[in-house]
Amino acid sequence: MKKETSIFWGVTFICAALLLIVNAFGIGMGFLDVNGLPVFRIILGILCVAGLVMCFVKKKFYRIFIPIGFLFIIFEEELAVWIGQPGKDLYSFWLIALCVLLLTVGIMLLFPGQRKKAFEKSVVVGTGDQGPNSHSSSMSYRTLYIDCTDFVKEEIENNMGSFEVFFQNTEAYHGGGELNIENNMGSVVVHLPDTWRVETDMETNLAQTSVPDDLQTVGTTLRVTGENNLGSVKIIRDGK
Amino acid sequence: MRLRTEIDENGEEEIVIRARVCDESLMRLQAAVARAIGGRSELRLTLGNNEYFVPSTEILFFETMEERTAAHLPEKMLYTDYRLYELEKILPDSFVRVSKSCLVNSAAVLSIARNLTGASELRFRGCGKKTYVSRKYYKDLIERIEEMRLKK
Repeated sequence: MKKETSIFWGVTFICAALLLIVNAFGIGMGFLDVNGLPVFRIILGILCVAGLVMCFVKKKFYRIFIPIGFLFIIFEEELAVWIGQPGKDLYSFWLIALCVLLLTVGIMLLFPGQRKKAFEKSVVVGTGDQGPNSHSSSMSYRTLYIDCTDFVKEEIENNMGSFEVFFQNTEAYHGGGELNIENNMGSVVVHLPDTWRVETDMETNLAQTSVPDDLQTVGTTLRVTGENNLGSVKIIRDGK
Repeated sequence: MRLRTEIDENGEEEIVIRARVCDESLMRLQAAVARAIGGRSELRLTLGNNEYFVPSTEILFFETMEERTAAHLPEKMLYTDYRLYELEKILPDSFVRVSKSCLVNSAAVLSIARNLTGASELRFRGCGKKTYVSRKYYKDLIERIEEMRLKK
């Protein structure tokens, strides 16, 4: 998780905890719990709005339906009053969840390029001065051959699919390269040349990340960073 | 266009086509010559400031990247200025399209791991490289491999 995101969520959670503690002591919170909304729902609402904002900031527009769906569930009662149908359940939880899932998957399938544009990078190798190159894959199989002639940083995003990474023209690589992986519920396999060593700095959430067990301490270094959520990232020696 | 043949018993056999521009007719001519000499044509590939003249039989597959086309050899990855549709015209019949962004040398295919619901995995002889053939192009690939087998 990037530092800015960590700070943002850390502060949000701390404020939420403080609000809950204050409310538990019965200390008045003004409009929050006197003829107003319960504090807990306010906190959840803030978190959903924060998540929605992060979706726009990160330009991952296909994810916006999830916080919107939760906002609808949390404030359904108030929405019903607003549209003139007080005391009525507008939609069941499962219907909202199904709609959110269908909308998210539909947008991902219709606009796979949107996620590529979100990075605003080209996939041309040999132009390391222009910044990292980005490659993404959703619910499919993909192989990526990275040209080490100008390898500085490459970013890959894999959602519910299978992604394999190979390194080519390795004699031109002298170290300092970074491979950033964002893996969500998928499988990523990185084929590491035999003479390289690897340094990993990956955040792993309910997932598996494995590296070669040969403990090589010399050789050119590849740095692997990123996030692995509910998936598998394997870094193996080439040919194995 | 003039046609000239030079006989030299001690010289190396080669066919050189000189042209002012690389247009449609030139590419058709290249394809016809490549077929006539049995696919031993060479392709000019580059990597940085280096140029390589690689026989088409040594190339495993071509893959498009946004601005360039990469040519995969067993141990290297080089580049060509041709687009895939241009390569289809000038390369021997052993090269077949397996997806929108990939042209494969069917003679170099070692195995196909069939996937009925999605892309099938292709592996190549003599190296660990792989690529995928989509369902749309699977049948054409199999037919081409069969044709190549029967010609041998």
